[in-house]
Amino acid sequence: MEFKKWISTQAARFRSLQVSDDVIIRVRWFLLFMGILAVYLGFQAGDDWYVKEFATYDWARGMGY
Amino acid sequence: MVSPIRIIDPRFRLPAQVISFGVHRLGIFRKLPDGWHAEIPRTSVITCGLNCQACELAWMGCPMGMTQRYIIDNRFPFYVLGVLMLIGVTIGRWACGWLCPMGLVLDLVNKGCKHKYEPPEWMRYIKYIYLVGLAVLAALTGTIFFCRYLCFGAILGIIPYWLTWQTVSFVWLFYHLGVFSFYLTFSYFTHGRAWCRYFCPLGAALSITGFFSMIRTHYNWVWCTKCEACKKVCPMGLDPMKSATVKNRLECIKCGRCAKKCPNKCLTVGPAPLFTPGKTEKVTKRVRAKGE
Repeated sequence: MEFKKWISTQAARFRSLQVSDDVIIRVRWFLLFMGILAVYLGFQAGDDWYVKEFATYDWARGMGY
Repeated sequence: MVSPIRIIDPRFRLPAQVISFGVHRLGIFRKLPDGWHAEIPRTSVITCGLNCQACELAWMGCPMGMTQRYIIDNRFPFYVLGVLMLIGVTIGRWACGWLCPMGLVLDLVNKGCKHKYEPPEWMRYIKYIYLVGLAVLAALTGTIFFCRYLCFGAILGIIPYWLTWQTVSFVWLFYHLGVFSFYLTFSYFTHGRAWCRYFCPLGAALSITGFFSMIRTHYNWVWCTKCEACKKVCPMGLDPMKSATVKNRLECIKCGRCAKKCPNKCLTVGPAPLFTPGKTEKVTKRVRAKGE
């Protein structure tokens, strides 16, 4: 019971936390570059554009369409 | 530096949702009255909306379906993660409020809801469990488990197929109608956007990256009379007056209903500052704070 109360208190505290704009802006730029890097890696690592099952409609056939 | 463009007018939301719904469904032209047009391609360009069971009518890939597919194929989903990150960081959950085809359906459902019951706060975490669960279940079962069994594809996928092509399996039709009835009953007593609040895994993914979104709700406390009109209309059950809190940043879909309702125009949906405040601005703030 004590633990449950502690968890809910911590969750409420976290939810009402205010994060400064400075931190948000810095992390945002970092994530933006990471996103571009991840897309680039996706294409470098394999032909990530192409998902065979979707392109050939096998998925829909499996569902009985 | 605060962007001079502060307002995204909520009056454009419904037209944007309808256009997005149509664009997601452009694949319907594959089945024209003169026959099947397989030459019209279905790309794997990732869209930012949940498009349950509507692959045949769609021409873009739903991020959740794509993620599961990559996991089943034993490929690390760099592409999906990258796109989700980019969508989250740029528009974030604005996509849920303005572009998601499922969102339009849920907004229409909301018109008939009673809003009698407010579910407990912990239920908001179910969507994160769904997000992790869909990856785990895809890996364990080797099927696109979430798309097949847990979402409600009856409205976006199976019924349109049934009405146009009459080729659907009735077992799946009734199963998904059952799942949809469950969500509908839940929404009837809570809110039309209950799916987005408590269950949507794409919403969960976008809320994590969308925490740092370039679009946010701005609250100007100077003119606010604390009438709480904004709080009453929020589809996500938030308090828009606390727009800078973690909860609001994670959950707000930037639909702009609060901004529309506010009698004193204290709330606006618009771009967040892109750069950190300059040194002069910081010093000015500090001096002001000392003075006060």
